[in-house]
Amino acid sequence: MKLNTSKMMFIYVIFMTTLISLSSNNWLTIWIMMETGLFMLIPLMSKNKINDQSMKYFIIQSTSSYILIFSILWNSLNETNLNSLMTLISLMIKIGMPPFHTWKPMMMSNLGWMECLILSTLIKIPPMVLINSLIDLKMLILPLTMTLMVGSISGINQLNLKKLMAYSSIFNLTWMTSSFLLSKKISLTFMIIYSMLNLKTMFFFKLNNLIYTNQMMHMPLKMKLVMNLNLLSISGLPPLSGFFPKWIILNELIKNSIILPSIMVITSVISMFVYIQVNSFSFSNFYVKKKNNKIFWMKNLSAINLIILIAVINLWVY
Amino acid sequence: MCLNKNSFWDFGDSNKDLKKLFVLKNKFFFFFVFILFFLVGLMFHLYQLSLLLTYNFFFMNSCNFSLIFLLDWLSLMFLSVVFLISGCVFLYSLGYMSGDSYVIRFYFLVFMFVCSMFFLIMMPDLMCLILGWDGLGLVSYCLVIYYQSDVSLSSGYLTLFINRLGDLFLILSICWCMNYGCWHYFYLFTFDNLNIYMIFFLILACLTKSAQFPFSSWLPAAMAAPTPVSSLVHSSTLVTAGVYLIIRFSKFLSSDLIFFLINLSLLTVLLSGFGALYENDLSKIIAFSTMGQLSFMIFSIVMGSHYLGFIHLLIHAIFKSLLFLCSGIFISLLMGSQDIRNMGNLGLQSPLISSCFLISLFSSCGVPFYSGFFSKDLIIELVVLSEINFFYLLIFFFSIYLTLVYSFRLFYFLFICKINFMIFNLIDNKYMKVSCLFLLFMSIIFGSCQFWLLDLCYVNVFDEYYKFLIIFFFIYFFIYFNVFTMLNMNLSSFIVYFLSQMWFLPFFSSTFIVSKFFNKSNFLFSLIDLGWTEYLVFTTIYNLIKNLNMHLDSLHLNSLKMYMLSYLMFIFFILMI
Repeated sequence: MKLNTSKMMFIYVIFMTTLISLSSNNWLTIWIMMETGLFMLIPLMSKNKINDQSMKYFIIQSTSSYILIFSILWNSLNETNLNSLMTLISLMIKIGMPPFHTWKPMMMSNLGWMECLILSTLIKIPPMVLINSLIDLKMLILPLTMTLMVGSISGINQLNLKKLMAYSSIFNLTWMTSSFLLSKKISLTFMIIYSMLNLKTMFFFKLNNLIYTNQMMHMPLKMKLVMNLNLLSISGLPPLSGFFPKWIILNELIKNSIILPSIMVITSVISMFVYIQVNSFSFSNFYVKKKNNKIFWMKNLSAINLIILIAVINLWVY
Repeated sequence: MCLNKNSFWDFGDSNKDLKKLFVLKNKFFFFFVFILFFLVGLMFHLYQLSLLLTYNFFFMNSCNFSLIFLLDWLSLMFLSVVFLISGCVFLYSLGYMSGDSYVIRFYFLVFMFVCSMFFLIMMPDLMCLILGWDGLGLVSYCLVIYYQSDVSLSSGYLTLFINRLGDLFLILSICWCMNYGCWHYFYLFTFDNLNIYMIFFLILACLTKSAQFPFSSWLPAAMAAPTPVSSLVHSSTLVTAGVYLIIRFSKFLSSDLIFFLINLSLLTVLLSGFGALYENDLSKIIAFSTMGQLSFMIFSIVMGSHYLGFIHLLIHAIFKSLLFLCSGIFISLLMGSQDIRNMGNLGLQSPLISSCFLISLFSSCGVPFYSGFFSKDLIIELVVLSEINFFYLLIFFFSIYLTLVYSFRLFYFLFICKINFMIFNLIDNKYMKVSCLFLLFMSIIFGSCQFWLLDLCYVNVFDEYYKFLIIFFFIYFFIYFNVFTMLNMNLSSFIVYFLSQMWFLPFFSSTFIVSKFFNKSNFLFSLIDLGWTEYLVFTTIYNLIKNLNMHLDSLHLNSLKMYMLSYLMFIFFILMI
């Protein structure tokens, strides 16, 4: 296997930019880091030369960046605070929050799984930090509610796993945003568990070449079981580890508003239905071995769904 | 290969030998324990001793949670009889169950049964007692469904659920008993009277365990178990647990409870007598006879003579187990047919077992100088001497008369009728015969033995008219025998149907209750699941989500140009504001 040094560099720079944006005290630095990350991601996307995804992604992201810098400059000229609608719209386009989410499923359905993973976890962090510092919760309630509705309902009719994961990331955007608005510890907990779960799920899909949901049935029972547990954990079923950061978020958020947590709970039922629909494909058939189907068994990180993790997180948060 | 095969067969033989050895060892162990407990019980009775072994776990809310063992002559004598009968049953089942593939499981179940009986007898603590009580219920369920057929499953369910009801009553009484801070009998005996609800629930639990009137439908159903098990269950262990507990708590029976218990036990005697009279299944007839004897014991206990009741319990255990073992041999000789109309002239075909059977039958009727006579006679005399309602006295004597009638009917069908079915003498086994003979010996001497050894002296003085009352009844029976045979012929009559179906108790304890719930469930299903709520709640939400999803999909499935246009439109719109 050839060691692709340029790819390694891109990924490392994305990590670096994310870390720097987490620890910066300056909005301009965050903006620059965001742009750097974007420019590192585009070559990663354009690995497959048939697609024009990198160009589309570039257009959308550069639009949002322009709007962001414009709004920031405008606000600084007027010497008002940065808490404005334009900033919010630019950040919403950047992370794909409804009603500006439409690019995301289309984009992710044409990307590789690893790029999907970066798009749904790492790239979101700098905009989140900006949201945390620039915008308050009251302004976000309407977009967050919309996000919940869209992310849960549009996943129902999906057979493409990449699109499904895109909707799942849209749905979890609300939780992520609210966690960033609440406190740093909660946001760290949520980001770590969510990205671990996403990493495991997408890595699994990548290793087994899964693109459509009905391919889930060509796996042995044990893998099906681990996969289903993983998906349920992302959806936030109570005994699994994915539920716990969501519980903490709900616990804190209910002190600020009533409407948002209640809508979160109701829509997470619909989102859980989506995941169970995926699982039902794997439960409907017994193991039918496909020809030349290599099965990769990912042993590390399989304990992430265990409840033992909860104790560690609880000790850390409280 | 050859070597392997040989070694395999050797192993198989040695395994079989081991099995026999295990059982024989067990047998000797049981006999040793029987003799030990019997002698120690005699000593305890002689010196009026009782020994308590206690281990305190903890105190909570001033309640004492402890493990406690009580050794006094009552528990020791009872245990000795249990061990005697279980030893005989183990030896017997070595022959009876030899063709079965799961003999080891059977032995373990019976052993667990004896263990739970041990706990029940030895622990004078309601909290610890429920260990043995529940163990009896569960293991009896496992034994009833041992043959794994539909019939045994349904009867096993009946047994399990009615026993579970009894457990419920016992748990309720434990809850009431918590007011006293302790669940020991001996602690409770320091009070003059107990809470009426507590003692009432306790009595109800005892009634379910002893298969008295409203809860008696499970006893004939439990006959689906293998015959050695029914011999153990229906003589000394499961059904006598309730009687044992009533004997323990006989001090607290208030007048209301005594009235209640007298009525119920007399009703049960009548029920079982008529049931045995119209039943054609051999083991079910013996089960009915057991039920009658149990209510006879409870009657004697509530009439005040609980020591006599207890001694009748012991004696009854021995002769009833012999009766069951003999009937098991008959059934196996007749290739599994239990209908007494198929049996006939058994006396000539297997004289030894027939004589055992007859002796135990005489014993259960109370024919003079068989062991059942000693206790039964005294109990009848005490009942006659006590100030009892004439109506009750009449029913009591009528029930004893019914015992004679169904015994004679059994005798007639088994020994006097002509041969209907040639029995297979080749099947019988030395282990079965040895255990039967041992129990025969015990059932002849045990009754008189009890009275010599325990030094119980009863002197009852009364009119000789009452003494010969039973014999008058017997003569009466000979005169009216033809009437009963006539009744037996006319099976379409409602009265006969009513009496032979245990006064419809199996119907009232299963179908009657269950069908109501099924009807309610069906109603609710048609109202809720198949009604308009289905459309209003489920279908509406489903359609709403489906339409929303369709619209959202139409938004997503566009080109990039449309996306960008929509974003710009939105931003423009926002800026307009």
